Amino acid sequence: MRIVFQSSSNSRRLIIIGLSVLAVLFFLLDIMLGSVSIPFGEVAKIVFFGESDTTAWLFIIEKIRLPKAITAIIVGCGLSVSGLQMQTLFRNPLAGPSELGITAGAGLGVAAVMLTSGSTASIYAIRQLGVSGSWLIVVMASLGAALVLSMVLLIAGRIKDNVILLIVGVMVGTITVSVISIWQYFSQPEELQEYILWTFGSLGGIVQYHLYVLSGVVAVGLLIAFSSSKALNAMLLGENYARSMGLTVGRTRFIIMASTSLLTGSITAFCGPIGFVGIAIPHITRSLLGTSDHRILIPCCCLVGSVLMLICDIISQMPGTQTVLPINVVTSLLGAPVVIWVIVSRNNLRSSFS
Amino acid sequence: MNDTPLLTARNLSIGYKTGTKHFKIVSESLDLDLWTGQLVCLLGPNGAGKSTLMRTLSGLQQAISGDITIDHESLISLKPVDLARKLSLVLTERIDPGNLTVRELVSLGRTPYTGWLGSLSEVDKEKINCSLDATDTKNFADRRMNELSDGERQKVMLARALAQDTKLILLDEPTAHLDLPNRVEMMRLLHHLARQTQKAILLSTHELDLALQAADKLWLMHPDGKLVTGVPEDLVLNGSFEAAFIKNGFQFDRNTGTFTIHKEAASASIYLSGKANLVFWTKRALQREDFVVSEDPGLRYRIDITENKANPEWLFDDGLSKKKYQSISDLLDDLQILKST
Repeated sequence: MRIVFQSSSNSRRLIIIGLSVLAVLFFLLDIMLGSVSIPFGEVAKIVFFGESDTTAWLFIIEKIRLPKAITAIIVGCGLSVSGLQMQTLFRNPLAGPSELGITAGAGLGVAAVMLTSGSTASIYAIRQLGVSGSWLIVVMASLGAALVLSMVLLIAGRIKDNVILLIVGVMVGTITVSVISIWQYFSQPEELQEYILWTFGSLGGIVQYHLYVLSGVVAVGLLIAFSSSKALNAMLLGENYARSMGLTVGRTRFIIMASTSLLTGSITAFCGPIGFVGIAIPHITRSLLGTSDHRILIPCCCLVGSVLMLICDIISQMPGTQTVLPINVVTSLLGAPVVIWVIVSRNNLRSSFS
Repeated sequence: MNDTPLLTARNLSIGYKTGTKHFKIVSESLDLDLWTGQLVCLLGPNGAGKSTLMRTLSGLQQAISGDITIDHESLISLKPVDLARKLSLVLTERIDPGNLTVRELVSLGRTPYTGWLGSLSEVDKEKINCSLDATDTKNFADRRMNELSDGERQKVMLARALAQDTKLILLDEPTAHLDLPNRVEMMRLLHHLARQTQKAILLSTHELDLALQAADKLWLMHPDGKLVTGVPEDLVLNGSFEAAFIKNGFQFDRNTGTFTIHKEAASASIYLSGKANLVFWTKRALQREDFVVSEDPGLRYRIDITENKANPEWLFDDGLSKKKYQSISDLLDDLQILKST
């Protein structure tokens, strides 16, 4: 038995190393591929040493592709970890930021900023606003996310049924979307266009201050998540057991909610509502590593999330063509089948949840 | 050194909120003591408030009034982490953290003792191994929870509670999902643990006969919320046991300590005599057929059971004639005549 145990922890180590290698590889590939092809060697040179013979390439990479690839990693880490936390918190395999309407809540926050502040605050205007503007939108989006999350949590406290909870989440999401629709209806066409563009999701255009703000907030969210991994592990046994093991459940819930709202809110604010990453990646990671220990799952979700988001970004650029697909389309195309797989393979579902 | 109880409740009222200001009181003015080294079984019919009492004593639910003291400290003033070091729980609810291995799950019991990331020290590992040994779960310690049977799973949950290293363990219907051999084993294990490790163990259960055999003390909850405590045998003999489970259609047999599901029929009374175990099973058969088995030797109908070369023989005497039977089946066939008359 001891041998089995060791071999499983060995294979786990191999998987983690493999994932890290893949992450670096796809990071470079993501920068390399696009409407303008740049050779691999040059990419490595620019990324690691910051120098190149061709200034155009240097510019493209430093100003456009590198921030975009970094954003992809941030999104992959943030959304998957927030999904993981929600699945444990709700003890529900179908919980995820977009499924329970949390991204819609963040969208409400964004809409509040974009559509009410008039023509001055279109998405591009926000991107040019500088630090104070980006903070405003992050705060609003996080608050919106927290609002929806606490509503769902309030209802989830009364209803234990997985499916009902999911329906409630979808309904709360729908209400949020309708509120946004009313807002849109009374808005100016120019503002609308920007908002609708935002809903397609984009990893690009987040540079300088915005990137710093986004990575800072997501880092804080991830740190909170990792530091509550012991509590999350205890929550695996359900609230009563968690409480009997000395956990202050109310406080734990609040911390997990804060982390989830920060992660989902900030990412949604900048990149738009990106679907299915949050629900799909925790499942993939769990079945890949065969563990429920959050101390391992959280870092590994970051790795898997980064790899998959980088792949999605590569696909969205449609290498070799001038077309760019919205990132939300790509993640949904890849993520929705995973959700179907989760529902269909009830064994997998039952192995992680009651 | 053992002169004060580990858990005391004084003037305790339990119940639950039905509105912002209204309470539904399930049971009141309870005075309870739980001593170390004792296995106490909480018995009572459904709806008497067993779960409410368990939840209140474990701090999952607030008492309406009264004081609960654990190890000289008031339950309300204890911080969750400190409480977790004094009291551990095994609940009825089936949890299914599938991907966790048995060892990982038992390790979670160390949560109140580990640091912020939950890394295990040597002491923690030793405690985990001890509790795996004590519950006989070590040989599947590396299997996943979803591969286990209900019996094994419940033993693992007990191992987790043991790893929490508390003087007091509360178990809410730990045998609910188990089959009979597993129930017996669980009770035996708990009895053994209480004695060996000087823990105080309180469990609520519906297993009346098991509780009667294994418990050092019974807490009997009556349907009206009254609670009677005492040594099982005392409670049986003074009639409290019957009173707690009073219901039409079945009765408690003080001689055997079991409930009989058959109503006292107005059918013929029969006197039984013979070897104890033969009488016991014959009596069961007769009672199933609604006969009254009486201890009065002056009755008209008598059955004398003898053993002929290790084969039992039933000699039925109806006051007029005698007839021998080789099996209970034959005996019952002929006894049907008594019913119609």
